[in-house]
Amino acid sequence: MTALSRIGVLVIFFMAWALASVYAPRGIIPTPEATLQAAQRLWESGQLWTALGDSLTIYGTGLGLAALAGTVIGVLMGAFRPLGRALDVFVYGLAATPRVAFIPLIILLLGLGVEAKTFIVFLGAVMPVIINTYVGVTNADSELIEMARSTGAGGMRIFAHVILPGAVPFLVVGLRLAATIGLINTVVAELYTAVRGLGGLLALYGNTFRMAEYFVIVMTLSLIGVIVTEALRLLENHLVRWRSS
Amino acid sequence: MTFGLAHSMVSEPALRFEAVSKSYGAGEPAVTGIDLSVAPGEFVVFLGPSGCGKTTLLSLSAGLIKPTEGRVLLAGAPPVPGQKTAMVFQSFRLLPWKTARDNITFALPHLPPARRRERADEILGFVGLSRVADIYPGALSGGMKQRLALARALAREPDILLMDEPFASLDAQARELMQTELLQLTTKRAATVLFVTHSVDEALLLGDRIFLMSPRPGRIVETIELPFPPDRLSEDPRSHPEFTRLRAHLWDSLRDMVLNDPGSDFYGRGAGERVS
Ligand SMILES: Nc1ncnc2c1ncn2[C@@H]1O[C@H](COP(=O)(O)OP(=O)(O)OP(=O)(O)O)[C@@H](O)[C@H]1O
Ligand SMILES: [Mg+2]
Repeated sequence: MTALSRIGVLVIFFMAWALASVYAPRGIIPTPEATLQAAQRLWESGQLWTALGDSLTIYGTGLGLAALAGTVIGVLMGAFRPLGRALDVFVYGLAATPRVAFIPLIILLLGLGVEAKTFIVFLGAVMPVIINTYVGVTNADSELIEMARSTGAGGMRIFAHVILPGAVPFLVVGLRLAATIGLINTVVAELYTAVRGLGGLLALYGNTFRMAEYFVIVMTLSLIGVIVTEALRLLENHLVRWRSS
Repeated sequence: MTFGLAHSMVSEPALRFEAVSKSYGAGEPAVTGIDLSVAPGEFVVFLGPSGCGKTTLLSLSAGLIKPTEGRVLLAGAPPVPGQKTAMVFQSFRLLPWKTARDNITFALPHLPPARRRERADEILGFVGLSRVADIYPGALSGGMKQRLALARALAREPDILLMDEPFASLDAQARELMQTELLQLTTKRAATVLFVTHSVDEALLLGDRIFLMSPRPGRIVETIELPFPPDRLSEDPRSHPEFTRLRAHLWDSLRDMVLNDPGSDFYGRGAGERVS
């Protein structure tokens, strides 16, 4: 049922696109056929493939490191309350600062290459993971902790069996936010540093008004977004399977 | 089981409260002036209106909280959580991310891993939950959750079983069944039981002794030795003439507490008329 309605939405989208391409002033919206042909050209020339490889490497590395570091930092902040209370204001503040503001500084420190780009992705993605893990750990159910204490459980056992599993649903929400922000930052990084990857192609075709190619890149980015969020949804369904039943 | 006055003759009580008070913050203590001693194998019931400190007394016995004044002693020593006692909480407190079976094995860290699962399956059978051993608590009914919480405590085979309204969300049939099973079990294993309830009938049916409590501040106002025969399973105490008399007495006391306590939610309601 869901699959059917989703296909319906896609059909409507393509029809609207086709109509728009006919009625919009020339050169703004390419027809679906022209876009498909552009995709073929980009694919065969290897351009799309290289750009995809560049961008996914940066995105994957940045997001992976953010998930790892964010979970560890969030858990530490939640587990050691004084540390959490000392840091949380700053973490919230940093998370609210537009990450673009840091780009000149990052370029000065790390240059224009892969390291700088990965770091920009990391910086955006790590914040929601830290914050959500921290909230998840600090919101642990005190009644369940008391129950665990009544069975003689010590700190480690309580942490592993009560606090951590209780924080998982929060952590997953953090990861989903991180995936979205990470993808945005990938493109932003590629636009602001050495122009490469999908962000580079976006700039190239956008600035030269080659709209068919431009559309191919935009749709590739959307596709990555869809695949990653769906994968995380499956992960969530697995990790939090006790909830759905 | 020990009955009648036997508990006062046993030298080392299973549990002793000496002039215990507990305050959670500033202001009136939750319980105060508690002096009591429970003999090994005795089944005592705490009966009283909401807020009179029944749960507080159980938490003190489990060692989960410390008395503000006085001493709590378990077989002569201050209680340590997880040693000698197991508690059935008023709210079920099941771990939602563990299956029914794993909720029980979690409470058995003192057993070797292979034995944990065996023990969990035994006890799940005992409370009639074998079929849902692999189900998460979220998918269990209220009654099933309560039986699971009960099973978790029983599985630990504690010297002292602390039960906070363990049958409150069972239907009448399941409650009667579990009451009988509990009596059978405690007779067989000679466990000491501290049992909290709102229900006068349940108190009379299960207890060797009833502590009647009154709120604001929480205290014990009356201790009643129950004269019913030890073999309650074959001879229903409800047919005993004393049962009817004690039942009326306890009802009246509880009713007066609720209506005459200015702090009660029902203060002054229906003064003078009978509810029956
Ligand atoms: N953790 C706590 N912090 C502060 N006050 C508490 C706490 N636990 C209990 N109290 C207070 O202590 C008093 C006794 O509470 P307790 O839970 O022991 O009562 P109870 O007899 O078990 O009530 P009920 O029948 O409603 O479960 C109440 O006035 C309650 O508000
Ligand atoms: Mg209570």
